[in-house]
Amino acid sequence: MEKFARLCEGISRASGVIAGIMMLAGLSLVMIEILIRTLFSMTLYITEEFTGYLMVGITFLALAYTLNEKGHIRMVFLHTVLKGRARALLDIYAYAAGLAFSSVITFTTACFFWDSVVLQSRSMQISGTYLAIPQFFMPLGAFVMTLQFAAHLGRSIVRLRTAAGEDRGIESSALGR
Amino acid sequence: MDLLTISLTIFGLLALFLGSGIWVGISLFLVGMAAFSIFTGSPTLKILSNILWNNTSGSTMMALPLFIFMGEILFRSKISENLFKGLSPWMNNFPGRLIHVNIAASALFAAVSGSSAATTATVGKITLPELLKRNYNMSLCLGSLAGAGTLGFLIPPSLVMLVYGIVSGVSIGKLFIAGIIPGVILATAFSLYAMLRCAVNPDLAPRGDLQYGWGDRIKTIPQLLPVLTLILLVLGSIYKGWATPTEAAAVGVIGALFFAAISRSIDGKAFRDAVLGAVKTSCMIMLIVCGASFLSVAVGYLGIPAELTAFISTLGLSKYQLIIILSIMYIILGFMLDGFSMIVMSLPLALPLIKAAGFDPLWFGIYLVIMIEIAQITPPVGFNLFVINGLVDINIFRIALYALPSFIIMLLVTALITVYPEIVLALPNMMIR
Repeated sequence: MEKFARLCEGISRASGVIAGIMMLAGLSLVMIEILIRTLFSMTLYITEEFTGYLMVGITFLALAYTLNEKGHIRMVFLHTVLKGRARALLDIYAYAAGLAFSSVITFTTACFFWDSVVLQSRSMQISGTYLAIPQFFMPLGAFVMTLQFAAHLGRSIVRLRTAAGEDRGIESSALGR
Repeated sequence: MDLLTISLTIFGLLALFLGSGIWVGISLFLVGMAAFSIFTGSPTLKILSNILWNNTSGSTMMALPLFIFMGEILFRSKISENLFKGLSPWMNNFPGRLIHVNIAASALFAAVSGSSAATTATVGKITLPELLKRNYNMSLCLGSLAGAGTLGFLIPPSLVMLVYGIVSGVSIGKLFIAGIIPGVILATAFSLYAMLRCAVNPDLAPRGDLQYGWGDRIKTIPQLLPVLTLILLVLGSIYKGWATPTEAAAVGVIGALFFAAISRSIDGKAFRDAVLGAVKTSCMIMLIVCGASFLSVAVGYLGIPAELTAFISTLGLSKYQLIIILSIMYIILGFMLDGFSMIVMSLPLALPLIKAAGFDPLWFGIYLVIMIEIAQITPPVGFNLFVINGLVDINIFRIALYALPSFIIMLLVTALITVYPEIVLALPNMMIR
């Protein structure tokens, strides 16, 4: 179990790093647009469209990393009140709900992506980009989050059985920074 | 099933999921899915994937991670440290002395950062040790920081305004500009309160051995220049219409990187942490925005907002009565929820009411931001309280008590902008011309 959980953490982190690179790519694209507009009175034409696609990648690829880093907000009253076995049970409930949610999202975004592949949908913008390309990040990111939820759920079940130490911390107070 | 039962079921499910510790974004999706599947015959999954795509693929969204990235860079650089050194000589002669550095530094940092938690953390980590070392009154120090830190959301750029603008369709540029005057009024009110208390009891802010002359003040100007330049770059470009919020955010990031680099206060690790921090926070916000958008489509499809608006209009409430009711509702929500969740969960119901009552949605955006600022300092869920608790290890309920005067000041400013909406609308109206 621990091996699987560590593998998932590695995948989540790699996914988060790719999201970070996409953000830097978006930053570069916007800056290039500003520069060529200011210096040469020209436009790239694709900046708005492609920053939108990059934003899809940033959002979905960072889902699992954010979960792992305790970045998603939740109410933690019950978590702080409960200890030991009760808290492990609450973790199992929350992670099971998360796993169910991310599985549905993976399935529905995979269908959405596949529709675009089959129909060869293209963007209405000047680039005529195959929409399946940016849409691929949706099921990919959702799948990585599903793996991460499965790993957390597995760990919580093991913790319940072995009465091992509690999950490391709860959602950080630096949220929203 | 009648609409009241449906509404109560949706509300009950939401309370159950949120209260039992399921992540806010996921709770919103789950309730939306339940609402669609149980009460409508619509193809839930098709609607879900379309909403996910439409909400994430807009280019305006890129402003979100970029503004957060800018704040993350400044948080890790020496620029914030220089704010304290740069502002101290200017504030030391007022009653309250360096307490005003808390407030002025928060207002200035708020003008380059979009978040109140970032503002509180960045300013607090520099000012609190200095103020407490000089025997300043703990209650005044922490209370002023908790209150002034919330300016991060009101003084533009603001992540909350970005989310409000995206969800409500109000111009983000105008929202940013509309926040300036209320932000300055609020900062001034915090300072006046500190002055008043220290005029009555000067021991709250002891004089100490610090003496500054005009020469010292002028020497500190270069330390303030990076922040002032960034404010001019970001807000000036939006106000003048030279840049979209996304472009202004990109320019702000480059400016922050430049100043952090020349002050040698950012290395590879800090840069990497800033990138990942920005990605993490923007992903958290995006999940909530998408979840709320999905739920609001479900709620709209069921006709709940229209029915609620019709019901409220039959009550014959005046504009001000409606605002008082909404304010009470938001204060209660603020005890339990973060600002982003408050906006996206309440907007589908509140916005039609507000429009029907004749309020400008632009004005309502600023009103909502102040309500969210209040939520930042109300326990048990108040992010500014958490941040200060991390800095000084004092119980959050005690910090909330110290912040009570700021809470009252914010309510008074809310009343002021409600009676005089021109305070909010004057600057954006000038933009049109």
